[in-house]
Amino acid sequence: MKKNFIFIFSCLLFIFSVTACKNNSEIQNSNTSNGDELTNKTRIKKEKELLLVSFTILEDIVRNIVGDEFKVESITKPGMEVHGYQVTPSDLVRGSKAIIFIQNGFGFELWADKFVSNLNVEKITIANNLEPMFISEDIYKGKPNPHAWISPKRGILYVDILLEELSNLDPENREKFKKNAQSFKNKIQKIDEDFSLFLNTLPKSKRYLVSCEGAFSYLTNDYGLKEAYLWPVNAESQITPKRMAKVINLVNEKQIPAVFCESTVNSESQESVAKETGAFFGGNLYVDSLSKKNGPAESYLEMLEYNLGIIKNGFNASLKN
Amino acid sequence: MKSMEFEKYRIEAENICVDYNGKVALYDATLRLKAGQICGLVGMNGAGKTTFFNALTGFVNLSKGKIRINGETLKTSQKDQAVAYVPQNEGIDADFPVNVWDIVMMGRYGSMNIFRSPRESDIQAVKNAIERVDLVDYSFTPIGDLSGGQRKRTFLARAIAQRASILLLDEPFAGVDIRTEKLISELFLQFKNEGKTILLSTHDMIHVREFCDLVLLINKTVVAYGDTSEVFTPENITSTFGGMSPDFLFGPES
Amino acid sequence: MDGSFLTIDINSFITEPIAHEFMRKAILISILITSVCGLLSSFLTLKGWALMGDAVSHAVMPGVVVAYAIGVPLSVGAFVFGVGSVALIGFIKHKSRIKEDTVIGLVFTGFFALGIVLISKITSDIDLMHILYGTPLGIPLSDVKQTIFISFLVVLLLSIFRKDLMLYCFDPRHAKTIGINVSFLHYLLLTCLSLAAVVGLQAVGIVLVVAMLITPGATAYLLTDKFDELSIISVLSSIISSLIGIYLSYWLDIAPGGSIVLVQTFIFLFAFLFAPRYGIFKVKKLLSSSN
Ligand SMILES: [Zn+2]
Repeated sequence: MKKNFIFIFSCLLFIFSVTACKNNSEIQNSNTSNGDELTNKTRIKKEKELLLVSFTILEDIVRNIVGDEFKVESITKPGMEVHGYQVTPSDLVRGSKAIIFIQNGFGFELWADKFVSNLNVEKITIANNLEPMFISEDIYKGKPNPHAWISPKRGILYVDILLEELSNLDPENREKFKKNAQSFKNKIQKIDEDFSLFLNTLPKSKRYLVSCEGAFSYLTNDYGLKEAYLWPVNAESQITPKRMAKVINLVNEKQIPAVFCESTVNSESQESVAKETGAFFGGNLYVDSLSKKNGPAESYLEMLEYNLGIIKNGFNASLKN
Repeated sequence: MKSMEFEKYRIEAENICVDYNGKVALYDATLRLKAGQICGLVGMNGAGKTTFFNALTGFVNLSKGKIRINGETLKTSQKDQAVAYVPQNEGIDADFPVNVWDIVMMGRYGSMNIFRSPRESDIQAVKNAIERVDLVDYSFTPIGDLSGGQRKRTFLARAIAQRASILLLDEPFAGVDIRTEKLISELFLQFKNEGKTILLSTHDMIHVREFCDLVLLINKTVVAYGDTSEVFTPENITSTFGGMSPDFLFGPES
Repeated sequence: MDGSFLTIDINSFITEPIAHEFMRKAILISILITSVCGLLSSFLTLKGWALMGDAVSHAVMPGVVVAYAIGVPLSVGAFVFGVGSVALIGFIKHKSRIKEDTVIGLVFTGFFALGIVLISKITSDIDLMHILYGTPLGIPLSDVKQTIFISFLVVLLLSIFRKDLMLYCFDPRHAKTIGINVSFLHYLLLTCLSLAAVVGLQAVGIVLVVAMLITPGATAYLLTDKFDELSIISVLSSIISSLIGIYLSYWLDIAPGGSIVLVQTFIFLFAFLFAPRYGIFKVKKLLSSSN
């Protein structure tokens, strides 16, 4: 009797976990099939060709340029860790159908070289045309920081680079792409101006961006902020007490009003920093991935707006107190 | 208080069968022992001796048959601490961090409260038991530092402290010194007089003749059972040991 | 002059880290968690369940992922899968002729793989891979409460059934003979193991919690022949490792989880070399002076 119970219990556990997994993939499937229906409706003449990109932010930027001339898909899904993603067979299947693979570079997609080596596909690497900033600490010291898109100013560069590459790919649509890119760039520019304006209202001594990962170098550099972080590159096991103490001392010393973390990591350590220093914990910024459906950052523009909103909010809330 | 009816037999095992995952280890074994009887359990390795002990202690479940101890079910007999088991030396983890006192005290656990905190009576019982097996000087010696004979005596003391009416001994004479052997045989006589029942397994045929009133020869089932003088014949032993020469088993001097 | 300089230095060496609240918290939580694991470790060593500790700690991984996906506390999911893996190990062992260590290895790698597959399938907002490592820096208050509660429960259970568990480890047949419920003790120990794994993985993560469950008991085993002392030494060495480990992680700027376990390993090596009776160099000094 008891043994049977144990066996049934184990079976239930297994079924439980498998269904948990299944439900999730069903949700994703239904999402993608909805997307397919939409593209089916707008399908006019030819079978559209596939542009495969490495992550969701790039997917959104590319889609904004090419409109509905191409099918654009991302390997990593919204909300996913991108750096250490593990490629699945279905990714390879999609890769073999794609006419081009677009990646960020600067060592962001640790898996991309291997992935592309399996395929006979052209690739575009944005980083080839970007000026890198370098990571200053840890085992990654001296390597370029990949997170350039975080800064709206660099986002505009992304659009320019992609416009050039995509126009070469499909010269017929050059004008159309150009028009799309221009209107997209205008929207980014507006956010850029908005943010600069806000920062000017802050006292110079408080212009610090304290985050969990050192992913904001481009943003801080482009907007005259100083940056501080708990660890240089996403790997939570690397938090050391000394680093935390350093950040705490800095926040205390400079009386930095607010600290932030990122959506893909545990914010607990940063919340401890906030608690100990009395700084305001501003919330989580989006960095490597867009948010899932109905999240606050479904597109690149939304992500920029959301991040800048969180930063503004953090400083405002703490300055009021 | 048990009625005379139940006092009749200390051990009643009727047609017991034990199998491990469908592999039969023992079948149709029947044994009845009264108070004060000493019975030798003789058989080859793998003949089911240990399984028989396991069945009597409730360590394995029967697939058939039933066992009564002092006329009660196994569950009740366990509660009454009626059966004590003295393991083979090989069956003990000699590196375990316990000393003689700790082990003998384990005999009292069954009658203690849930925290197993010893009362005065438990301490006295342990002291007496250690005295009876002549290990007073070794009371607080770790088990790893004891000789084979001393270890054997430690576990005998545990059975004494438990105040069990039935003792099951697995190879009590294997690997012990002369002194221990003598002490054990003296204890057997005392136990007999106290009305305890003893079932012991052994390879040594001389010991069987020396101590055992009864003999149970097994080879997966009972080959022969009865008074030692009647049952313990070379023919029976040969069939128990699957045709091996009894001379070989008795040793050259017999 | 030199002397006073030294004392000041040592003073700040000790006080500077604990001037930070997060450090005080990390020290307290680590001491709590490692002591619980250390206490349990003394039983696992005697039972020969090191591999089982390894198995349970790895098997909780899919539990954490599933718990995250359906929104219950991670420790609940971890516990359910920890106990489930153990039940499955028991069932397969019972119903087949495969040896126990093979079954353990089979089940826990299977569970672990399930965890990895689930992680790749469930798109989460946080990186679930971090439970492989974990950190005692910045554990949120709700988790602290949970940790204290679970730790208290495990210590309580192990204290109440201390002697029964010792007997169960030493001579289960005798335990059964005198009417002690052996299978209850079996599952009690496994439940405590699952709970300790749940608690430990918050502080040092799945990979290192195995060490916290094995090393202190092994160290103590080399140092004593008494069961009570075994538990005490095991817990003490855990506490000392936590303290030294966290201080080292502060001053050397290294990850605290790894640092704690490394100190535990060094204490073991020290015992291995210099234990009075069972060390390689058998330092008899302690023993002869006490006699
Ligand atoms: Zn990143």
